[in-house]
Amino acid sequence: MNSTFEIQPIFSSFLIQTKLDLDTKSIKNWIEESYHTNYKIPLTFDEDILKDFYLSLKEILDNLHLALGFSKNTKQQFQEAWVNVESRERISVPHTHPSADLICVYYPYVEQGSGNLEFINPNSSVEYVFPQTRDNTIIDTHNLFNSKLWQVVPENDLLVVFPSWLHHYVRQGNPNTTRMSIALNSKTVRI
Amino acid sequence: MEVAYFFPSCVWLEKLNFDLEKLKQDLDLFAEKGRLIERSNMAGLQYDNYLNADLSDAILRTFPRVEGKIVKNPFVYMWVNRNPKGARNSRHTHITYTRNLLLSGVYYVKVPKDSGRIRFYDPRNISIMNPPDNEYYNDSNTYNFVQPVKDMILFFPSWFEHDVEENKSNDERISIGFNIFSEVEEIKMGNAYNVE
Repeated sequence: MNSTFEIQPIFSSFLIQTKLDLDTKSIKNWIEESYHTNYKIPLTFDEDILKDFYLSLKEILDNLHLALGFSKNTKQQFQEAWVNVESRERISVPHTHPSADLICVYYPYVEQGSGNLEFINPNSSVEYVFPQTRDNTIIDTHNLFNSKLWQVVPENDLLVVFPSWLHHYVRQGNPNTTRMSIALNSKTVRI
Repeated sequence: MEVAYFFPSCVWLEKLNFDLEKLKQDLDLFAEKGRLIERSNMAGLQYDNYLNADLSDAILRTFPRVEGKIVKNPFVYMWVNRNPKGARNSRHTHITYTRNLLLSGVYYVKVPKDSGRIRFYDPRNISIMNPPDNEYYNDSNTYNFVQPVKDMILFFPSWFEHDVEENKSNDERISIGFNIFSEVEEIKMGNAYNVE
């Protein structure tokens, strides 16, 4: 009798987390010096200080594009990007970026406790089989198959990439902490 | 032109006409002895298993019924939400591992101005990609708000995801969340829509 088996994850979402090894101090200083009042700052893809960021991101998105099985007659193209600077009260409503295909978030500077990035499982039916609240759950170990939420703890120099269909938001953190992030939307286009 | 609404996501709104002063007094007593829980509350307080027979009866008298269908042995499970300034409730459902949860809801006891609206999210997952029809017919809305007032009661399906905005007033916002459990006598699979 054989009772061993392998669980195959099917219909998966995905998440990439990687450090870019960039000069985050210079980027932080540039953001601080360039902008004083705005909390959402549009980017134009030709900022000299972000040249290495754009190059690294392009390489990662090219590799991800192939890993996701897209045709070689297509490629990822930067669509829009912006800097978020939040140091006061944060209103974080779950949202998606419907005009994009892939979403990238890079953290040049975050202070501890400024709030985790949280994703909501797009398969809402999971909750019926694995219902859970913070103090009332029937789950012992959270994993890929039973989780309604998935959290990323932001760190300096961390890049996060995920599909645009994932609802995401910043979990409420300490409102007195500073959090700088660069968001970038990427779209699949034909070559 | 006739419009057929298939699979609508309903929120029922009603005024309960309940004795709020008496209820507030009872809730203050309950806050001294009630069990604190952590569910959707962000910086607010939630107290589990609030028992109030008058309120339960009022809810059971009011909840939306379907003519000709009997709901067997319904009962109400309640909890209390007290949101001071700065508190809110994160996005959540009322789904439990008890499958006989018929309907969920919330009753508003105290709602100061700017203490937070309740927001319901579009449960149709494909709409989050904002296809052109959603942009054209729905202005790309992926959620809708209800502005609560005191004595308002809302009923909604347990799976309907919702959250509560931050309380920006200096006063406390008090509401009672609830689930109505039941044994529904008959469940039909599917409904036919007949075009006249």
